[in-house]
Amino acid sequence: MKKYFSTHFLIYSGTISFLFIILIFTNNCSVSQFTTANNKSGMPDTITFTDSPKNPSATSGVGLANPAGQELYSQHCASCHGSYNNSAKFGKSLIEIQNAIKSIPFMKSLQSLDIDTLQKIANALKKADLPPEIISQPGDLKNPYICQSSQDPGFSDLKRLSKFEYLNSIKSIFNIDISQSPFQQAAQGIPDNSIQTLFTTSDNSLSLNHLEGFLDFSSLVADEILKNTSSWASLLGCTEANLKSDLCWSGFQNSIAKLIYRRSLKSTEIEELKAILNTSDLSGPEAWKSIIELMLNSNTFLYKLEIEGSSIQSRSDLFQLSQTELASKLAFSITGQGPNLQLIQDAESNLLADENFYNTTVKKLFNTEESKNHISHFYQEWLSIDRIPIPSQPNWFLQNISPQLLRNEAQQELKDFVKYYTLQTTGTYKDLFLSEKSFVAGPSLASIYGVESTFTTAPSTSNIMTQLNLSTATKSAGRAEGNGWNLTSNGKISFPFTFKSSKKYELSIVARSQLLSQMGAEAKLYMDTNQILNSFTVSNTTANEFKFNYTTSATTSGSSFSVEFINDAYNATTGEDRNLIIDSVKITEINLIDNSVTNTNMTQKEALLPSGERPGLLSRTGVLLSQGTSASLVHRGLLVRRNFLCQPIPAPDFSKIDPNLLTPAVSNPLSSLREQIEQRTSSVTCMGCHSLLNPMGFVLEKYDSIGRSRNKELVYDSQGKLIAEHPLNLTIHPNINSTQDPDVTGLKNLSENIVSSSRGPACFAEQWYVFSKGRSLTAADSCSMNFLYESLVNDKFQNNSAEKSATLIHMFKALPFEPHFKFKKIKTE
Amino acid sequence: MKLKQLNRRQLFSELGTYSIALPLLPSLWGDKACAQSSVTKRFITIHNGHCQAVEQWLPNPSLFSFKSRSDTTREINLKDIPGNISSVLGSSFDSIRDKLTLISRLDSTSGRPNHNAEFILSGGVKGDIPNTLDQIISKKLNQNASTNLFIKSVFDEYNSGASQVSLLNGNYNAGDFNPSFIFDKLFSSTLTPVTGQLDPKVKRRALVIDHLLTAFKSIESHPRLSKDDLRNVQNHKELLFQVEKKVKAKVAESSSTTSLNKCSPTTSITNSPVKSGNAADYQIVIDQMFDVLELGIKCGKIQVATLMLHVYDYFAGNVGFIPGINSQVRLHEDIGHAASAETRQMKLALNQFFAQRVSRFLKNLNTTENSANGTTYLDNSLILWANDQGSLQDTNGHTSLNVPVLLAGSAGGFIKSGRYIDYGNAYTGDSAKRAIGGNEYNTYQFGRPYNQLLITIAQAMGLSSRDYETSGQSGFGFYGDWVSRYTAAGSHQKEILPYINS
Repeated sequence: MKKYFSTHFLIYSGTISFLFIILIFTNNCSVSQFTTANNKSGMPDTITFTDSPKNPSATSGVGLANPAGQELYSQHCASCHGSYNNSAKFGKSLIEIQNAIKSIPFMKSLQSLDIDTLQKIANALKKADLPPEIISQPGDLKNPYICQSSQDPGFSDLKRLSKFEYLNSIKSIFNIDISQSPFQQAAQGIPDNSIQTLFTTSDNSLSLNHLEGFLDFSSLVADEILKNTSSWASLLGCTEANLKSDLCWSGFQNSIAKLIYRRSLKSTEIEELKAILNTSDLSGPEAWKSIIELMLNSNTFLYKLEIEGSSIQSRSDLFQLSQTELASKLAFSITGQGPNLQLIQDAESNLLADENFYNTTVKKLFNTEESKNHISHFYQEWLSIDRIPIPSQPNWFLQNISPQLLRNEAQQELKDFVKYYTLQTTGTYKDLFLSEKSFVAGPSLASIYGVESTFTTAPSTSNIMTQLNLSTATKSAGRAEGNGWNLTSNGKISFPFTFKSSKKYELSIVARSQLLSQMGAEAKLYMDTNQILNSFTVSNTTANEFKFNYTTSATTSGSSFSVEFINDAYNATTGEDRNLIIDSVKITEINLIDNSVTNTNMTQKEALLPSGERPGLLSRTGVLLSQGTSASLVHRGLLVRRNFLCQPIPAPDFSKIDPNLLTPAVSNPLSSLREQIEQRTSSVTCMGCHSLLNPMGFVLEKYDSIGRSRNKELVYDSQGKLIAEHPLNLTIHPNINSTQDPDVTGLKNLSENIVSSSRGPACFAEQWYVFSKGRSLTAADSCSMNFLYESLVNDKFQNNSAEKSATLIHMFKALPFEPHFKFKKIKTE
Repeated sequence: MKLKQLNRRQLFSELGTYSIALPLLPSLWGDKACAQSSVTKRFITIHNGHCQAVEQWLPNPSLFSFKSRSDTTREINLKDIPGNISSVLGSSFDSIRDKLTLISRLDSTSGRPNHNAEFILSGGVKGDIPNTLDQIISKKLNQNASTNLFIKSVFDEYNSGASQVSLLNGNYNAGDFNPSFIFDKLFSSTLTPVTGQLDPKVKRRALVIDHLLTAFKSIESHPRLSKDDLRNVQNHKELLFQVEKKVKAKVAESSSTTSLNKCSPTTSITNSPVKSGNAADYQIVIDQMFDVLELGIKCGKIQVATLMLHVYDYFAGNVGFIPGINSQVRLHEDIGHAASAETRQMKLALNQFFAQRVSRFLKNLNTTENSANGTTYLDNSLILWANDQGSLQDTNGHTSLNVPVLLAGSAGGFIKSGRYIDYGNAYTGDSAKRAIGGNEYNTYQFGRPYNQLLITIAQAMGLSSRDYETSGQSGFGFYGDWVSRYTAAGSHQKEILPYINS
C-alpha cells in the first residue's frame, strides 16, 4: 500500500451536483490514461489504470501480500496452526480470530494482542476473493471500502442470461405474454436459476436441460409468432406472399434482429442468416422460424458478451466496454432485460459517450416499470420473500389465523415496506431498520401487530364480478348435469383465473349434494393445485351458496382454483350415492380502499404500530415467521448475520456433532429457549459461529414464531395449555463491528447499532452489487463498493442520479455511475 | 460464414432431398425391429383402477418362506411359490414367471390419488407435477418430441377426467379409444408419406445446431475470454454436441422409416366396436388394444405407450358380461366402492379378467426379437401393470398404500426378474404374515414410497436423474405429506429400489 502516494478522492460539489473523480497513479509504475467520456461540462473526468497489475490483492491493500501479518502469524499462531504457507486458517476473519481467543482456553495467552496486531494477522489470512475486513466503531460511518488509485475493476465473468432475464427479454422483443399458454408451460422446461447463497443471479450453470429448454422455448416462440404469417409480414413491412424478399429481410434486420443481438448484425451474420432465408427447400415461414430459433440460441443472445471494447493501454485483460455492450449492461442492470431499439440506436450513434446523454438515459431506464420490478426482484431475493414458509402451527397457536393468508400478507408487507422507502419516498437505510410504519396487508397481520386493519371495502358498485364457465372448466371426474357439473366420484373441478395483487376476492360457489346416510358432500377449496384455502360441507339437496374470501400477495397468472369432492360413497344396498353437484361459480374482485394511503399524515400512519414495538424490517412477520410453536432463534440469527450483515456462516460439520444437538430447541418448562441454546452451543466447536448467531436470535426472541410481540417466553403443552413462563433476556453482545461493541438491549437498540455501523450499510450496498454483478464480492471491487457505500450513507455525496443523497434510491441508482461500471476486467489467474 | 464450407450442413441439406418417409405419429419410434438386428428398450404402462383387493393379488406367504435381503426387503423366486402365484394371477403367467417381478408394499405418499394412470406414473394427481413418467421417458427417447402413444380401452362419452391417461405439461393427454383407428395410423400406407422431407422441426433443429456449433467453436478462440469463460463456452459446445447426436439419431430414424413401412402385420384390426351398445364388446376392445400394442412393438413403431383399461362410465359401468360378475353390476359403485364378501369376489373376477388379457399380451411378446442372443421382445421391454389403489379392505377411501405392481420384462437386463419382492419393515414374530390384506390397515407396516419404483423405471430406461428431476427436487413425481413416514427407506428419492437389479 505504501507504494501509492495517494488514494483516490471523491470530491463532492453540492451545487454543481456531479461526480468528479480523480484516480492518481502510482509513482513507481508506468501510467496509462484515457478519458472515459466526452465531458461537456468542462470538468475533468478521467480514470487511470496502472499497467497490468498481476496481483489484485496487492493493489487493494488486503490479502496475501502482507509480510508484517505473515510475520505476526509465524510469531503467534504457527506453533499450533502450522507455518503460514500451510496454515489451515486461511480465510479466518478478525472477528473469528477474536472469538477464538475469547472462547478457546489454550488461546487465552493471545488476549494481550491488540486489535492492530490481530487485524494484520487477519489480513494475512484473508483470501483474495473475500471482501475487505471492516473495522470501525459504533457510530463510525467511515467508508470500509478503500479504493486505491489506479486500481483495476473487479473481474467480470461471461454470464449467461438468467431465466428471469431470458424470459423478460423475449417478452420484450416479441411483445408476447409469456405468462400465458403455451409459453408459460414451455418456460417450465427451462430450469430455474438456483439460489447461490442469496441470489439466483449468481447461478451461471448450464446443463443439457437448460440447453434443451432454451431450444424448445425458442422453437415455440418461432412457431407462435409465425403462426399467423400475415402479422409477421406486417411487422416486417413485407407481403405475406414474399416473405423471402429483401424488404422483408431489411425490416427484420433493423428491428427484431437488433433486439435479439442487442446490436446491429455484422456482415458475416447477415450473410449467414440470409443464406438460410434463401435456402430453396425451406418455405418462407420455415426459413424465418429457423432464423429466429438460431438467433435465440446464439451465444450473442444467451450470453452477455463483453468482448468488443477498446483495450486499456494495450492490455489484454482490461478494456472499456463498447457502446452497445454498455447499453446492454445498462439495460440488464437497471431493468433485468435487454435494451430496447432506441437504446441500441443511441449506443450505435455513440451518444452514450456524452455524459449528459448517458445520465439522461440512465434516468429514463430507472423510470420504467421494468426497472421498478427489477429492484423489487432484488428485494424479493435479498429478503427471501418467496421462501417465507406457510405457518404450520396448530390452530390453538395461530388463533384462527389462516396460515396461507398470513404468509401472503407477510410477503406483501415486506414488498410494500421496501417499495415505499425505495420507490415511493426518499427512504434511507435507517428507515429499513427503524421505521415503525405499518404496511399491514390484511387482517391476519393486523391482529398480530395489534393494529386495526386499514382496509375497508369500497362500494359494491366498483366491484367486478366474473361468472365462471363450468363447461370449459377442467374436471377430473363426473359429468354434466343441467347447467352444472356433477362430481360423481372424488375429483376436482378447476377454473383458470388470474388473481391480481393486493385485491380481495369473494369466491361464490352454488352447490348441492346427493346424500348418503343423510351425510352430504365434503369439499375442499384449493388455490392452484395444492394450497388448501378452506373446507366446507354441502349438506343440502337443494342449492346453497358458499362464499369464501381470498387475498393475494401478488398478481398471479396461469393460476387456478379448484373445488374437490373428497367423500364419495355409494351404498349398493340402499342405492344411495353421495355426489357433489356444482351449479355455478363466480368470483367477485372487491375493490379495497387502503385508508392508510389516503391518509397523508405520516405521524398518524406511523402511530399505527405501537411505539418501540416494531422497529424496521427485522420486527416484521415476514422476517420472523417459522413453522414451529417455538421461535427459531438460531435461524433468525443466521438471517441477520447472512442477509443484513454479510457475514457468511458456514454450515456445521454434521458428522462431528452430537445428533441430539441438531434437533431444534423447543420451549420447555425447565429452561428458557435462550438457556437451552446457550447450553447446547457452549462447546468450543460450536462457539465459533454461535457466538455470532445466538445474540441476534436472542434479541428477536421478543417475537414469537409468527411475529407476535411478547414480554415472556410462554410454554404450552401439545393441546395449547399454558404450562410455564420464562422471562425474556434481550440483552446481548452484538459484535457487529468488533468484539469491542458494547452490549445492547432489545431490537430497537440493536437496529440502531446496525444503522450506525459501517458493516450494516456496507452489506446492503454489497447485496445490491452482488445481485447486479451476479457473483460474490472480491477485494478488487472496493472502488465500486466505495462509491455505492458513499451513495447510501453520505448525505454530502452526490452521484449523477439526481436523487437525494444518502437515500436508498440514491444507492440503487449509483450503479451505472460507479467508476468501474463501463469497464471490463478479465480474470487472468 | 458460408454454407458450402460446412460439411455437416451439406449432410442435412442432402438429407432433405432424399426420399425420407416421415413417421406420422411422433411417438412411432423407428427401430430396426423388423430387421431384428438391434435392441430397443420399450416402456409400456397398463393401468386399471379401483376394484383392488390386495390379498387376492399377492402371493400367500403362508405357503412359502421369504428370503430376507435386509431389514426392509425380503424376496422369493416366483418359481418357488407353490401352485398359482396368487388368486388374481392364477396359472396363466406360469410360463413366464421368470420374466415377472411382483412387488408389494409400495406406498403413495399422497393422501389424494385418483383413478387415472397419471397416479401410477407420477405418484400424484393432475397438478401435482407437470409430466408423468411416460411423457418424460418418451421425451428422452424421442429426442424431445414429448410424445407418447396413449390408448384407452373404451369410448367415454363424457370425456371426464377418469378417462384421461397421462400428463404432458400439466395437461391431460386424452387417449385414443379406437383400436382399428390406431392400427390404421400405425400401418396404413395412406397415412404414411411415401416421399417427403424430414420432420420440419427436426430439420430446423438440425440446421440450428449446426450453425450454433460453428459459432461456439469460433468464439472459443476469442482472446477476451478468461479460462473460466472458456470452460463455460466449451461446456455449452459439448452440450450442443449432445443435442446434435440426438438430432442425428432422429434424422437416421426418419430415413429408416421406409423400411419400417415394409413391416406388414399379418393380423389386421378393423371395425373396432366403439360406441357399441353391447357390453361384451368391452372385452373385444381391450383385446384389440393389446393386439395393436403387440404389433406396434414388434414392428418397431411403439416404444412408449400407456394403456388405460379402466373407464367406468362405459356401458353405464355395467361389467356384468365378465364371468363371475352378476349382470347389471356397475364397476365403480357396485364393486369398486363396496366391501362385502360378494363384491370382493367380483373384484377377483374382474382382476382375473384383466390378468388373462395381460398374460396373453406378455406371452405374445415373449418371442425372439434378437436371434443373436435369444432375447425376446418382452426381455427388452419393461411393462408396468398397476392399479392406483391398494391396501385397504375395500377401496372406499381411495387410499394407495401397497399399490399392486407387476413388472414384466427386464428392460434389456436391467431388472433381475423372476421374483416376488416385499419391501418394508418386517412383521415381527410373524414372518408368514401377508404384506397386507383384509382389515390390517392399523397394523400395516409401511413399505417404500411408490415413487422409488418410478425412479427405478426411469433409470432402467436409460434416463439419468437430470432427465427426470425437476426444479431441483430429488426424485421423481409427487411427494406428499406422508413422505416423512419413510425415513427407514433411506435415500429413496435418489436411489432405485434396493435389490431390484441384483
